[in-house]
Amino acid sequence: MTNDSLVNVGFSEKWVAREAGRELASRALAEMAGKPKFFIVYSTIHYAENGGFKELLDGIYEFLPKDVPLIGGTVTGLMIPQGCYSHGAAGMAVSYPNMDVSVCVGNNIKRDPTAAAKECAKKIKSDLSSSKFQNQFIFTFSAGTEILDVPPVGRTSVVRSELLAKTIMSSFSTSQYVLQKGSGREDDLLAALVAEIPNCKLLHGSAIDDVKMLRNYQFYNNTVLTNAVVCLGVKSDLNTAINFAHGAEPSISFEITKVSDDGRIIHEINNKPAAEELLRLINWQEGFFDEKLFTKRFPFFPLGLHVNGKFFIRPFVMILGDSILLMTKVEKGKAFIARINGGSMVSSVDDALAASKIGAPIFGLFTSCAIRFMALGREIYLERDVILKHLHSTPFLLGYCGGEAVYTPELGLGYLNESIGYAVFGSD
Amino acid sequence: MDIEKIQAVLDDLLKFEDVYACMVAKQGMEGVVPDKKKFNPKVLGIIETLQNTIDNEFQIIKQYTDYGLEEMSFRLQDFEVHLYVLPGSEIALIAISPSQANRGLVEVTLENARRKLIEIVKE
Repeated sequence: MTNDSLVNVGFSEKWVAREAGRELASRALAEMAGKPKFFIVYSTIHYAENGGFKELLDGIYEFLPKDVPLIGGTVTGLMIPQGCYSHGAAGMAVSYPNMDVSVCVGNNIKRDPTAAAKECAKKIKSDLSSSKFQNQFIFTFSAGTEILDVPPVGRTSVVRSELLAKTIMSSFSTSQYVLQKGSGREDDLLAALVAEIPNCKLLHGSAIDDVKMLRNYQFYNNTVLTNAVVCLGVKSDLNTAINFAHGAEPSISFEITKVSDDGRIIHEINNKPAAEELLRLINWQEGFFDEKLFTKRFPFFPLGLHVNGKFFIRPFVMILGDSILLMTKVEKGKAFIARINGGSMVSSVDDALAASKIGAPIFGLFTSCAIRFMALGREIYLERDVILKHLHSTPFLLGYCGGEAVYTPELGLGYLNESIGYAVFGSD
Repeated sequence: MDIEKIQAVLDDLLKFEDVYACMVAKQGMEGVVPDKKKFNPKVLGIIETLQNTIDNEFQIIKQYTDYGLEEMSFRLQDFEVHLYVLPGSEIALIAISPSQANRGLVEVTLENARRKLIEIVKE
């Protein structure tokens, strides 16, 4: 039996959802030795307008046996051994025999992520309690941050009017808890989940669209969900190498001196209005706060923070008057403008994979930030070359997400942005 | 060159909302241009000018081929013109996107089209 027959990746660039689902599933299942234990799907957002995601999933289940669990969701782009894509859908079928599997879903994560996490943890623990295998892995995929498209402002990166900015900020609470539009609250969700199952290893991705951040979807079997977390729990005899990389270094240091109650808006830096002070620190002119800010400028100047001795980066999402919106919580204290470029992004993946001891790899699952896809552009193929260098012919699936995270008891929980996280499974 | 296959690649490119127009140009030849009704009307003037001046652009490209020129892009009004040269040839994929488009996504889209065209030209 070859590795390819245990794990296989299928892909389709077809535009019609049903046809794409059928093609990717038929390709993924073509050389499988047995019925898959689970199926993971990443899809770009385009199928929302080309038949819908239900059609995509129904197309997959025309080939995939109905009792095989499927989880996944929307991503900005994807990478598989065959290439990198800004349009299409890919699925990974895993039929490794020494493995028990549980899948579950938690709802309303933007309103109450802790309750959703506890619900999922309970199901995973219950389903896998009688497994004879020791190595526990959890893959979570949840609704990522969505930004309100507020008329007349629309989806914008910069609102300098203080009055309008205050109106938008004051609507966040209603938006978050009533409409469930807003932060993905992955940090809260995952903290609650690993508190319930501390002895697992975990990889997380957050659903996103084409980086407009207006909508995203999660897949659970043949059901399309929003504002949900879908989880795959696995107990097996496989070893799992988990790690992350970003390639950023601390550059300009400063103090975050005032944040919003939920920690997702920075109001003051160095006791001065945050946006003004950011401009001064980076030595930018006011004119740099334009519509290219999020897509072309901020990716290379993220916020950097040390958490539990590790350096993490957080993209600035939006300028709101004199405040700065983030996707995740921060606390008052020392922070940095981090320095990152395309070369360091790619070489960091090389370094991380080289440091991971992966004996006889069978498959790899990756989640990476959509911002990296956006920032690297066609150079994303260099990142693929690095992964191929380390994994050779091992099947892998990488989705460019709205957020990513890793957890092991040794690493702790690392909620990531603008990074790449991975779980590589090996039999040695 | 299999014109039908090239046409299919270009038609596929035009399904991306941020690809307003595209064509494959060959020095001294007409090239392959999709049905212009599929182009965003905002860029029809630009694409016509590009078609008329493409031989001049190839003169520039030739000067840099030995230095590994693969890609050129420039901004015209609110649009970005991308020109991807197929290696070892006088053939280029040309596409126009809005200047505010997510450039990274557009680049990956065009790179994949370029790779498909290289395979078609090789055949």
